[in-house]
Amino acid sequence: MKIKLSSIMVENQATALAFYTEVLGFKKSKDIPVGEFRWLTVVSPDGYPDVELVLEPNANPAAKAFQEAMFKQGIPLTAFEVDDIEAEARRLKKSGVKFTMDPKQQGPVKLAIFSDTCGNLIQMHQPLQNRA
Amino acid sequence: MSATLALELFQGYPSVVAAEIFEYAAFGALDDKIAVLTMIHPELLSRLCRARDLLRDWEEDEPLSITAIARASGLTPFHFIRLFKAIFGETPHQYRSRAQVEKAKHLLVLTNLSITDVCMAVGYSSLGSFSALFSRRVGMSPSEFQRRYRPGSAPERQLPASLIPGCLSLMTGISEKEQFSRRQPVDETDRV
Repeated sequence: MKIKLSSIMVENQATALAFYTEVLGFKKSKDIPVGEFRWLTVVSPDGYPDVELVLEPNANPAAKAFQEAMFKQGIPLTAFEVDDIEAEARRLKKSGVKFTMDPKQQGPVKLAIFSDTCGNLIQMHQPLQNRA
Repeated sequence: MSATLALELFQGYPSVVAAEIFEYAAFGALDDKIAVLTMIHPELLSRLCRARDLLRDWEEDEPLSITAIARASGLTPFHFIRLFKAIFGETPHQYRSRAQVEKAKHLLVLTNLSITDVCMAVGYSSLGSFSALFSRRVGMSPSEFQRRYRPGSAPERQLPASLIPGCLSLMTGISEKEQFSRRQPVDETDRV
């Protein structure tokens, strides 16, 4: 058994794909039409190529309610790891990404939180200790 | 960027950050320098969430204007629209019309309301412009949508599974019946 998919609900799959590829820098992996929606996944060129992030439509009213409540509470729905969080934050801000938390050390990691323009807050983290 | 705009921009930021930003603005530094310096203060974020709620649900008969919602959020309309788009990915106006169409879809399927009532319920006073917006977004008129998706006589109506995406379940072949569906808590005025 292995972890292969992680999903994030998005307001609009087309604009989500644009944000997750053009702004964050992921690559599109699968794009299969499923009725009105798409089975849409991206992978990270810097990460594990077989782990995919599903950009899942939030059209289910329950999904939307959950997503909005988490956003209001300032809670990120997922986290991505980066090597240099300050550089990433600068790069994203220049592309117009809005942060709700600037890079800040918390225990063994540095964290930052930004809005993904699809209805979610996303956390970035950089481990501070050298890993073996 | 003018100093006045900068001042307005940074209402709700901790004063140290605000002072620093104001200094940049006063000396005529560039927009992107400011963007790089700032983050959205939790207080401002919650005001924007509140604005999003106001765009979708309103207590009065008439939906508030975008300008009024901007003012209620403590921002000028210009800055409100820019910030809203940067955070939620679409302008307040785009958000509102999408939300109106979504709400209309649910009301058309889940209630006995007439097309005109649905039009009023989502904040439109003209049936013509409501139908035009709906048709443009959904690809069919409100009446065709209702004919197609509203179950004939079911006392407990629910959204058909075809309108609720269940990507993961679709991919693994779980039957449609097992997918989550939910009834909207709307006023079930029976007119039969």
